[in-house]
Amino acid sequence: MKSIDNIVSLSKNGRVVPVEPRADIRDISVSENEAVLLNILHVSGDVHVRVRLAGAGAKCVLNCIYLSNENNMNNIVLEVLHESKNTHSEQKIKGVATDGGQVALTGVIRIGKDAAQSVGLQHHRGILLSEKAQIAATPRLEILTDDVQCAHGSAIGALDERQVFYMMSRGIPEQTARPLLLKAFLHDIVPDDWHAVIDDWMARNV
Amino acid sequence: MSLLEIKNVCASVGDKEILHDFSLTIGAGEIHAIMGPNGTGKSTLSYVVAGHPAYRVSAGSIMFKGKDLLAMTPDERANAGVFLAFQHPIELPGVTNALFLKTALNAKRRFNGEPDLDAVQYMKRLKARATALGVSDDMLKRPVNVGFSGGEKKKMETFQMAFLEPDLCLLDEMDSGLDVDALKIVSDAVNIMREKHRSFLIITHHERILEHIVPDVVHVMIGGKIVASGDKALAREIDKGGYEKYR
Ligand SMILES: Nc1ncnc2c1ncn2[C@@H]1O[C@H](COP(=O)(O)OP(=O)(O)OP(=O)(O)O)[C@@H](O)[C@H]1O
Ligand SMILES: [Mg+2]
Repeated sequence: MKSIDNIVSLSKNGRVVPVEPRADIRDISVSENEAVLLNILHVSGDVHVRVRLAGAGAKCVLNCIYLSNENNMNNIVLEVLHESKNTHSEQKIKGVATDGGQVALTGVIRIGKDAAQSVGLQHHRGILLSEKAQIAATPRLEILTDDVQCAHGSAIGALDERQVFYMMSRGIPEQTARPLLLKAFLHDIVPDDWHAVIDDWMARNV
Repeated sequence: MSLLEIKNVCASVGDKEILHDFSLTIGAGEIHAIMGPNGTGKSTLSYVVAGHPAYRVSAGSIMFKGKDLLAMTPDERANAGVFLAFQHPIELPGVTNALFLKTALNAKRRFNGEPDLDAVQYMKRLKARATALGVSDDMLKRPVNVGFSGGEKKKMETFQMAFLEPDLCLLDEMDSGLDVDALKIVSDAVNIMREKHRSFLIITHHERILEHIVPDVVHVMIGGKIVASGDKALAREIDKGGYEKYR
């Protein structure tokens, strides 16, 4: 991960899976009682990840970060398909868009008819750093059986100015406070070795 | 010389003027207390001094150490020595207390043309202040104010103040929500910090904190201005008889 322009990074249980921008759908299959942690860092282009919870008791945590600036159009499709019973998924999606950055996010949770007692969760929070930036989030829930738990939430807004003022009231200049808050917002759902990439992007774009 | 000189300030938030022709002078080393009914503009006053961007000053002046405070950004004011302990401290998810204070301290050092403190010196200073205020290592590693109880947040504000060593400490209802022991710890911290060059403005609803931290002057604020000033006895009188006779 040297250059961070035009990159989509995907890691499965901490190991990098190669992905090309504009590649076809990336399929990840999780088998019986297997637990998978997927991390995605998306700086531009299209990404379509489809996770199949194929075996009973399969679990997946999917953490996705997107970074969008005026050169980028980020198209993100995340699909989690619950195909067996007692499967669990949790998607945490966070990102920032600055300048004229455009983000289109589609998050799908599909709980199939054989997937009773499953849990599918999706949380998204996007931060807009300019008036021109746009983030559009479309959640799609397809639930074909009863006795499941499914929840999603999406919040898109600016950085919390109360936080910025609080930091400034302690002597921290605005140009330090804002990136620090944004890094803190993003860091918690990405592997440590990706922090430098995010920090570098912040330094150049915020 | 007075440390803080607020002269004839009118300040508003949104379309509403809250401070009307407000004046207050605090000398170096003095402790002032302000009491006043809810919604009277006490927090507004503290935000105006700290430089909150939502509050607009339309008239008057504020001088701090002889400099025009209103011309300075909030971080410049802080680095010049102003500290506001918030009535409602703000949560900073993902930013640990240790990182927050290190960033703040080094910002102040840079402001004064000093080099950043190295990690060892910083930890030493942090630990010394933390021990004095009963702040555990675990608390330092947690994000600022996230998941802290109301009283713990107030204690952490005091800890930040003790750590940053400001010259003007604005304490906005520092005592609200504190148990008896915590009130003692917080008051002790203030009393230890009392020095010839350092002043305090204590905003409170209760006379009790003023038993621990004895003020030089007590002001009654109503409708956006000071309507009476006196000594400690005034606080007791308010505590017993309320604000009726000042309205
Ligand atoms: N953003 C705002 N928009 C409109 N009115 C506001 C805003 N912020 C504060 N006010 C009003 O300003 C007035 C003064 O508020 P302030 O918080 O300064 O009072 P206070 O004296 O600190 O009260 P308390 O003792 O309850 O803390 C109140 O009437 C409040 O509703
Ligand atoms: Mg108040």
